Amino acid sequence: MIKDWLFPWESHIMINHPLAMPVFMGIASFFLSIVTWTRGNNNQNKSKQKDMDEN
Amino acid sequence: MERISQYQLFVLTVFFQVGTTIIFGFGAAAGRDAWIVTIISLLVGIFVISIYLFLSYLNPGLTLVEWFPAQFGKWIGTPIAWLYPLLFLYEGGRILNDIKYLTTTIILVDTPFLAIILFFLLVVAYLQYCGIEVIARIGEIFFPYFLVMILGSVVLILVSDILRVDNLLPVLKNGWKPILASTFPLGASQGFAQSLELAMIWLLVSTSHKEIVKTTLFATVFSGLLILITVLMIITGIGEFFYKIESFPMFALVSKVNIGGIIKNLDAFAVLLFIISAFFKLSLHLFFAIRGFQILTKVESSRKLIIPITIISIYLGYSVSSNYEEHIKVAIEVFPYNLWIMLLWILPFALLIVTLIKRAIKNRKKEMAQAKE
Amino acid sequence: MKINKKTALLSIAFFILIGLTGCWSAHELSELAIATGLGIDKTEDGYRISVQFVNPGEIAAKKASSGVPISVHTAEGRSMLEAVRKLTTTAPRRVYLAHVRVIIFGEELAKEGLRKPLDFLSRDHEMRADFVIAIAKGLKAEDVIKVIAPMEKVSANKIFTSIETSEKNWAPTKIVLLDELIESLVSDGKEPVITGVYLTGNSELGGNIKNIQQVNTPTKIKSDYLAVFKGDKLIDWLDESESKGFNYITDNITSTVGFIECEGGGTLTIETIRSKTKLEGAIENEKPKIKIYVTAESNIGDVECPIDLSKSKTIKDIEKKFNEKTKDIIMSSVEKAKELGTDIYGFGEAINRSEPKKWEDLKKKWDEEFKNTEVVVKVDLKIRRVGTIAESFQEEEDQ
Repeated sequence: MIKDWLFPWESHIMINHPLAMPVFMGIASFFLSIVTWTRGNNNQNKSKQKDMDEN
Repeated sequence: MERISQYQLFVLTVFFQVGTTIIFGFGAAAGRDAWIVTIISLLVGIFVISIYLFLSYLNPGLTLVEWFPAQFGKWIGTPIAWLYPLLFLYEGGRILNDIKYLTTTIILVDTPFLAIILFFLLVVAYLQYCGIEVIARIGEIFFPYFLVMILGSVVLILVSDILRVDNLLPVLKNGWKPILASTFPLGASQGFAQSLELAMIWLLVSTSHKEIVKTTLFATVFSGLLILITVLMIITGIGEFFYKIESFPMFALVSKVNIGGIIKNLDAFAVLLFIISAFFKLSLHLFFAIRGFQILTKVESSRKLIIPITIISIYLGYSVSSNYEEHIKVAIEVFPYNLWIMLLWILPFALLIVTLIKRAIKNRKKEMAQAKE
Repeated sequence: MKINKKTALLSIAFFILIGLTGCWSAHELSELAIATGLGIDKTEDGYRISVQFVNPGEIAAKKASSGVPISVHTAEGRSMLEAVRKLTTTAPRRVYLAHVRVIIFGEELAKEGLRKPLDFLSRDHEMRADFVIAIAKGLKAEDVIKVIAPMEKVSANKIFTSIETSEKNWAPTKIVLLDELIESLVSDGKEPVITGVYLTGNSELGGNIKNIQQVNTPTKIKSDYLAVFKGDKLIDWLDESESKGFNYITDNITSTVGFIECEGGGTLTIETIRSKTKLEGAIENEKPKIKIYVTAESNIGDVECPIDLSKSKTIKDIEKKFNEKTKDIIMSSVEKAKELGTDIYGFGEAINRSEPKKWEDLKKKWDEEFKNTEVVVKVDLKIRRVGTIAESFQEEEDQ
């Protein structure tokens, strides 16, 4: 069932398909990594520093 | 730059490690031998936390999510690093579910889940706006009360004479197997190996790395002892059978307190203890998740992320578990195996090996360069 | 886009104001009927629940009034919860169960098994776990619940306190709370007991206000005897002395009195003020063996025979005699339990504690093995005080 794999964090799917959650997280983190890669290396350290000051 | 003091790190570590175990019990699958599980888990926990601290020493100036890109390279490291904020988010959702089941079974029976989750998150989200310094200061304020309440309940339980040491016997009836089974991965991960998340704030502590190591290990022993005391009290107080079947064993123990018919029905006490520790654990989970997202997406301000993450948490708090039975089953049988083993044990160890090898190669090169000169 | 700080604070305060009222499932006191006692009987296909409510007006009244202090409503249902909810059809208000002091099961229901009705009692969040459980001996629980008692206007309270005080001072009863009962129900090496309550005198009059308008109340609630269970089914009763023996073995004696016969006729009564029992299980020659050590401190409370208490030998003799007597009480209780084939003392658990491996084999045939278990009793009772008069004046009278 494809529907089962769309919401892997729900408890019944965690129990019935324990592998769904790691797979989901793997795919999600790959797509999120694209964000990281496309934003490139634009002064990573500087921006982090600035943000911490803001907080 | 935000800074927290050494003592604040200690407080946050204890709150984080004690977390929800104080009410759900520890290693209940091992029955009356759960206290042995606690001791072994503590020892394993100290070992694994030392490794995390060593990793942080090897990667100076970097938080948990930056270790992986730094050592594994951009293409492999980034996807691995992204796993962690997702895990923190999911664990935050699990804490919300703990809260939702405890409050709706024990104190606010007719209240809908959503109201509890919403109001809890409202406060937590506000804290995220205030930042880690405020979270740490609140922890500093609450910590003495938290300790006094635990100590107070220990005294009341001792005075009301409900503990039966006989309940601990026989020791090791079923041998070491069930003990080891509930020590790894569940016992050693719950609270102890979970402290990997604290690697997100070790950088912010305003002392040397050596002091951080000392404080963290001391806090680990401290919270391990706290857990050990509660486990011992619960087993001797309500017996093996109830330790296994009670949904909230600490709650069952405290409500047994009866001193001369005057001091009794201290249920609210246990609920308060639970809410405090759950509150800090949830705040920290979400703080680490937001910080992780912020570093990895390279967003300038983490404030932009608070609202989306809070909304995701509301959704997770609503949908992670559909009933209490499943919630506990996932916590004991599924979640430690499919996520924790990978993320808290295998990946950090792999990282350690890679880091050490890279260091060795670098040193070798340096030596060779020096030799050439 | 800076939000005005004041506006932000105000809106947060407003949200917190709504959030902290905590009135989601509030029930006003004036909307509740406070239940103090529950009586549970069996019907053909379910339960009949009788609930004793307090009449708040009567309890709080300073002047003596002619109204009844309690009222009882009953309802029947297929399950416990259904019956409780059905009560609303007769009860004037919503039933509130948190203050229940005593739950009485009818003997008929107890003979059939308590496991099913107990589930509701432990599952319901409104019930606290500090009520005492009793069995209506030879009666319907409803009959006991209905009785009005003097002194304590709420008779459920009376039952609770009289079981409690007699446990502490006389020792043939036992307070059994819910968790202890459930624990002994599920344990392999222990069977439950529950104190019995019954009525003496004219049971018809019990529910009438006239019952407390007389000096010697016609209907009295008495708590005595221990109901012996096998599994969750009642099988027999222990009498007063056997119940006392039971309490000796399970270390449940705070204070009690016992008498011995003097040599020259008459009796001498001894008050036990402190008692401690140690139960040890062992397996010797493949046979289960139980050792019971009782140590107690006593006073001489009542001397009704010629005896010279100033001699230390006399005291020694009394101690020896009393030890024998206590041993007999304990042994007769054990004999009774062996006869019934039900391990109410937790001998099995004691063996499990010392010999967990062997217990695994033993527990399958424990019902039989229990009957063959060797029981050794050692009583070590010390007399500490002889009371405010050292010597008895009985002797002189006799001469």
